Amino acid sequence: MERLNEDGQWIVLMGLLVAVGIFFLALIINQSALVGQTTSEAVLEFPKSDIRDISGEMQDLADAWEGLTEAQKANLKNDITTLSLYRKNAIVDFDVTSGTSSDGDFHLVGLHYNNGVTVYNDTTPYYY
Amino acid sequence: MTLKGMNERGVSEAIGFVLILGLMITSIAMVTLYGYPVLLKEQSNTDVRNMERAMIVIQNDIKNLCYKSVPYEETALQVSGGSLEVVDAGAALSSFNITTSEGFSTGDISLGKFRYFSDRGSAVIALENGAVLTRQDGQQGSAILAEPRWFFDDSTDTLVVYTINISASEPLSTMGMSTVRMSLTSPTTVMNTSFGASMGVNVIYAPDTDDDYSTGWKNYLNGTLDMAETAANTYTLTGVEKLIVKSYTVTVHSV
Repeated sequence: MERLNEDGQWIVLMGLLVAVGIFFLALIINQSALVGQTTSEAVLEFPKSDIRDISGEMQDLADAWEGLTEAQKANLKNDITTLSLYRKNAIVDFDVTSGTSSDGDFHLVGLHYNNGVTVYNDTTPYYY
Repeated sequence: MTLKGMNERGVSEAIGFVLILGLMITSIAMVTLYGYPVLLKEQSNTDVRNMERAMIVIQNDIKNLCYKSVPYEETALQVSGGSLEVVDAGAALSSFNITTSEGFSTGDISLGKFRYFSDRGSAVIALENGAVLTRQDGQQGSAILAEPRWFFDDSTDTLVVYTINISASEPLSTMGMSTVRMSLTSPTTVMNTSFGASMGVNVIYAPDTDDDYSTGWKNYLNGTLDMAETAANTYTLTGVEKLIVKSYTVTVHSV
């Protein structure tokens, strides 16, 4: 019987290897659809301007604190906390105490701010 | 090829051909039988995970609407391997009720939701009351993927609870490339209840028995908010002096 040329048999083997290779490549491509997607959550959530606005109000308040009646103080505090809650979704609380140091008399304003993501506390002396 | 010293008189061309052909057919059959389903499963998993992210994107849009005074949001997203639907609050069977030990009650607040059903798998992903939750269809249990922004302020003993009502004028559902358009509907109601002394606040979740996310909510309320489960689906936080419940309504115009 005349024999066929068998030199091309490696092509069959290579075909099999390539098929297996493509299969694994497909698995990897499936996975790669996930890579590179990020959520739109803002990383910089710190409410800088909100806190700055309230701090600014605190300064005015500390300057005027001596001349206010208790009812006015309570009303102002209520107004600020309510506005922050309704407009900025933040819990704001503050207290004003008076003190004296070698530099003069001051009002110490303790500010507390919490919007569920950021909790911010500070205590600032305002000299008068 | 002829090897030296070997007698090849018994080698059959036909048998060799049949052997190679058989090997190839067997290999192809194995790949079709085992490999193809693995590929499909991977594809389905990828679709579900992509959708989890898409839901978190919608959740962030809702956060922008509610907490950052943004009036309107529009997001394009790809819904693949399943369908996304909007359940109007009026048609939703699950609800929240927030009560206090002093007798205050918000009543049952139905919330509506965004919900994704996977075609090939059994995964269900829902966006309910600002939280992204997932469960396997036909099985008990659920998990919370992204938490809502409820919080307790230790300094003032204030508990802030947000309820986000999803409203759609008609039943909406989509597949493929979609644009979710939403806006905030006024008014936002705020229930601001101060108690003289510290109170217990109960959050009661009434699940839809066919679409039950009570385990996810339990993990959130027990874990993040440190509430105690005092009865089935009833969670209590003690030491609250002030309770704030803000209710938003988000209208979905189209998906």
